[in-house]
Amino acid sequence: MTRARLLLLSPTLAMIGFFLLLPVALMAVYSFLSPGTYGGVEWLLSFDAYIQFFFERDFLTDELVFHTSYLSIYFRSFVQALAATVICLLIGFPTAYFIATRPPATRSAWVLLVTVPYWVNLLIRTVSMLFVIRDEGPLNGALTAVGIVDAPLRIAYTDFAIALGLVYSYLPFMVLPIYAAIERFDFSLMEAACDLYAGRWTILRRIILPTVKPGVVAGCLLVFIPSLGAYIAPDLLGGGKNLMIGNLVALQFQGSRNWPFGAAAAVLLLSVVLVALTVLARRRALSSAGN
Amino acid sequence: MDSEQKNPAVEIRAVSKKFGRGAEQVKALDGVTLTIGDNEFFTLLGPSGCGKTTLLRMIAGFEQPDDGGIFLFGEDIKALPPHKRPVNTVFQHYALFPHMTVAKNVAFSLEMLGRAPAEIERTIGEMLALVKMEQFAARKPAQLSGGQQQRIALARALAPRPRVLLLDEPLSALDLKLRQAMRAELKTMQQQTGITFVFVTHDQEEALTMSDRIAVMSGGRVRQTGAPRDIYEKPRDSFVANFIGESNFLTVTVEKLEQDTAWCRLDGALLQCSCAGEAAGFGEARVSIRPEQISFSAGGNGGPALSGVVEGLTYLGTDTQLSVRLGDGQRLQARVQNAGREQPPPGPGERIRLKMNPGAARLLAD
Ligand SMILES: Nc1ncnc2c1ncn2[C@@H]1O[C@H](COP(=O)(O)OP(=O)(O)O)[C@@H](O)[C@H]1O
Ligand SMILES: [Mg+2]
Repeated sequence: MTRARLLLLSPTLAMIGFFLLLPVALMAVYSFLSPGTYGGVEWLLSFDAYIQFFFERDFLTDELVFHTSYLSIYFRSFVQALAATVICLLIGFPTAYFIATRPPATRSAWVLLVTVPYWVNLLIRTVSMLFVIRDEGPLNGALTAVGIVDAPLRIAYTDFAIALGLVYSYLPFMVLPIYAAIERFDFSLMEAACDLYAGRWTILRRIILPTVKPGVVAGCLLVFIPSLGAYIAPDLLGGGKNLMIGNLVALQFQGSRNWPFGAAAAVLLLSVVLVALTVLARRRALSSAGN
Repeated sequence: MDSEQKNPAVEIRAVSKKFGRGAEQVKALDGVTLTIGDNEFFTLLGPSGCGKTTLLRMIAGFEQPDDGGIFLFGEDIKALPPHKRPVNTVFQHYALFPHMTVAKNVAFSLEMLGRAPAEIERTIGEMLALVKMEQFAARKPAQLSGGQQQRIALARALAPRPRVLLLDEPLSALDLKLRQAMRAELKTMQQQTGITFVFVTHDQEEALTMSDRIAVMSGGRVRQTGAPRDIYEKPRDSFVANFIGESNFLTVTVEKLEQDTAWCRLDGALLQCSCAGEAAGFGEARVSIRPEQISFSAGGNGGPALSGVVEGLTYLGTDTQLSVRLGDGQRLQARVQNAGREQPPPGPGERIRLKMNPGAARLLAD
């Protein structure tokens, strides 16, 4: 690397170093320490955090017994994030397709509209959403007034509400990369396929989807990963009852004050994500080199 | 079989097409009528924007005519969508599927048509052999050069054995050497396969060297249809004469009309011109004559033969081009080959006698 390039990169490298790598490393270290009495850590090596994650001590026999209470939180988070991703994809793909096929002059206006929700703080957006969907909120008010339901629908503080919140929070992350991919899509390929006797569905399946796949994969990752660790939506919309990983971690640093355990929970999440991404990247490298 | 032989491959009847609305409206095609025979190498030639692509896309089914009819081997195909027409296209920018290998690209239409795997394999082999790309079957389009991509586009379009192959400026993205080599190859391929080729180009040389017949287009209309030789030697109007090759345009007076000959007075001399018959009338008219059809000799005076004064000389390698001013002030270009000439060419200011090959001058319709 030349010196000029190094110089150009240095702000980014400094940012990543100080605010990403260093905190992550610190967290990894903390996860192997003992909890302090009033939060913080004692500098004593301990694997308790990880043991606690998978096992509990039977308080009669003092034996370690495998338990799934934390794993099930991970599993729940996984399912929630997956649901949010699928819903985002179902809404986001047609939206992106719609925008990408507008005349070039109006496209940027549509893209701007997609980002409108981001002009308002996520916390405020989520709280307002809660106001809309709660039992006495306008949504239930309208539904009962029209007579579709007799009693208010229970939407707030359910898994469905969390999914709704996640979709609302991350939908633009799905739309934008897919839009970029479709916009770059060469529509003469569609004509070529049509010319070569392909019908509409075949064109979608065999021509459009494979060529915009990188955009779709990027969109899914951008929705799935933050959903997995989401904090605000499950905390507010789930009412803190249905914990997701983010809430579990936050609790350890606020309520129960077990920093090493919180750190361990976060490190485990990070590892899962990293492993999954590596496998994905491998497979893609293999499939694109496989000819 | 018999009925097929009677029917032309493609018939375009009075087709018109407008794009846009109001002030921005463009008449892309304006009453185009064409008949393209089976097994023909037919070229649509014209400057950019004259409607060639629009016409080609109409045959493929990507555009609908506002007016008129399109027939394929006698069958009205106006209502058929592109994927139901036994016609394939080689797109200008190839439009190869980037995520598929060369073999998969070629196989695509065969899979769509539900051909048996063994047959598909065989056809891939045949097509890649036809375009000499056998060893590239496993490559992706991005790993090929422009010329190679072009060949694959051709193989892909030929694979389903279309009755008519449409080619939209397929050579325009290639460099000169490759373009010239591909001309000969395309022509051979057309003859080997017996498929009707409808070839679009704005390059007159390409059109002249490859085609059985050419339709010269401009402003959404067909100006003239004919064999390359007819188009070059007997241009119908000044657009055709000007667009294809170089020409002199001279104002003459028509004095006598025979079947397809017109006797015209030019600067006192009587000139034997060819004419289309229908277009001719007496009085003032314009003729076109190619520079290489004018020969000259030294001397010359105001007698019945045409003569002029040399104004300039341009050495062109194989030829020398003379700029000559006639007695009535009109100018023309004459060209002579340098090889085999004994005398040196006349110098500027010299008076020379001009001779036009009989019938070489063409009486124009406009
Ligand atoms: N989809 C379209 N919308 C508007 N105008 C068009 C469209 N397609 C072609 N045109 C116009 O029609 C005319 C003929 O275009 P085209 O058939 O592409 O010409 P060529 O292929 O001979 O260069 C041009 O003036 C072009 O601008
Ligand atoms: Mg064109």
